Amino acid sequence: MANNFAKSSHHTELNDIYTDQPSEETWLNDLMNEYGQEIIWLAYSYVRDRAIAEDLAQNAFIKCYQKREEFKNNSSIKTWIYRITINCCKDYLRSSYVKRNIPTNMKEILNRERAPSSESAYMEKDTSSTLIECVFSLGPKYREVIILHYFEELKVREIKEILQLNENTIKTRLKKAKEILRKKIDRGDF
Amino acid sequence: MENKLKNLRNDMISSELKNIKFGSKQKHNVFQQLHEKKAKRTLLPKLISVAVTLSLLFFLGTITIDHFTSEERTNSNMNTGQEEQAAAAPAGEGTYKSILQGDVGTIVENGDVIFERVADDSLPVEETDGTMGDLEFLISLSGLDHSQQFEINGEFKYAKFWIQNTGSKSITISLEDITRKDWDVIEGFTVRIPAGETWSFYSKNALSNGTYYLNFTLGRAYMSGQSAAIIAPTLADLDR
Repeated sequence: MANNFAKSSHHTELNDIYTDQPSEETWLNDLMNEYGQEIIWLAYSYVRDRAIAEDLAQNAFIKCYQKREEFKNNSSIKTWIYRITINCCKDYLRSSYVKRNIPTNMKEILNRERAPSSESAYMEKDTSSTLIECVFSLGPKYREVIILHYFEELKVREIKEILQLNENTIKTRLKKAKEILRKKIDRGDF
Repeated sequence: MENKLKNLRNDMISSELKNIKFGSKQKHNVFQQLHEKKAKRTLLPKLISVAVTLSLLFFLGTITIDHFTSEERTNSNMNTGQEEQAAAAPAGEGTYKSILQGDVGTIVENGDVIFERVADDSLPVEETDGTMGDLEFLISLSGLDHSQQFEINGEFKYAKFWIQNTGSKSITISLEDITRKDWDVIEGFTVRIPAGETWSFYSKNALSNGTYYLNFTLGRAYMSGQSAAIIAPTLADLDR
């Protein structure tokens, strides 16, 4: 499970560092211990760049801290923090900085076809890496649902809450994304 | 496909995401950024409060300066008033509305003009034998203001005036030479006769030929009293 994986060794490692913090910062520290790893992976799935993913994850936690009063206890904190992170990622991808400075990379980020990242270059011939490349080559709206459903292991109901979309829309996108992936793999695109 | 996708997480973690970690460095960055933002947020109100305080001090300073300036002005006016009350203004300050003060017999000199507090019944009522002076006018004072015309011709160049103020307010008088350009007010004659008092006044200098107006002004109340003027060929003849 995603949560089990998120509760990595960082939790105990960092609890000792921030013992004398105010309660809000302790709350943030706990939140980062609980979801930090998942959030940076989620951010990475949008931008496929380690440094940018780090910045986006950090920004997401700062926003969580700033908006902590807005969090309603009747909803899941996980979906809340995921939504904030995804919004941060989408804001970044929509930002004038990205459009102005990396117009060519933008296409790569959103529609990677045959350009595996340096991190995954050595995995090119592996079948699992083929699938990963295929996933990253999907259009943003299809990649998003695949990542959330298969990587983050979220249920359609949770994805609906995070993306604020209709359940049927999510199901349709999942179905279509899988068809595209199948075709890509069958064609041997990667 | 479904099975492959179910392994997506493990596959990505073991390859693509192997080096993507949210560790202590990232947490430290988050707290650092938060503290910087907090510092900015606390600094801004401080700057605003300093600006407001300075503005307030400036405002209060301006008010205080204004207050002292107006006080100084008032004091200055009061001093002027006192000077006026003493009727000791030097010649050339005849436009001052100096109020005459003193018991009967008090003599006040205002340049060449001599004022004397006299008894209430000392006004000349008619020409009497043995006096060299001519009674130029004898009038009752009424209304808010009045201008009494008289002429200086020939040898009768000295004039003496009496004002009996029986009203409740002081009467301002002035002497005007309408033959002069712009109907100049003659310096030294402009004074205020206190309520209930009688004063006489004359100039040590001869008046030049011409038409004059002795002006009586009260302004906000009706005048009550009498005024008279005698003209004579010499200064000494005014009192004969």
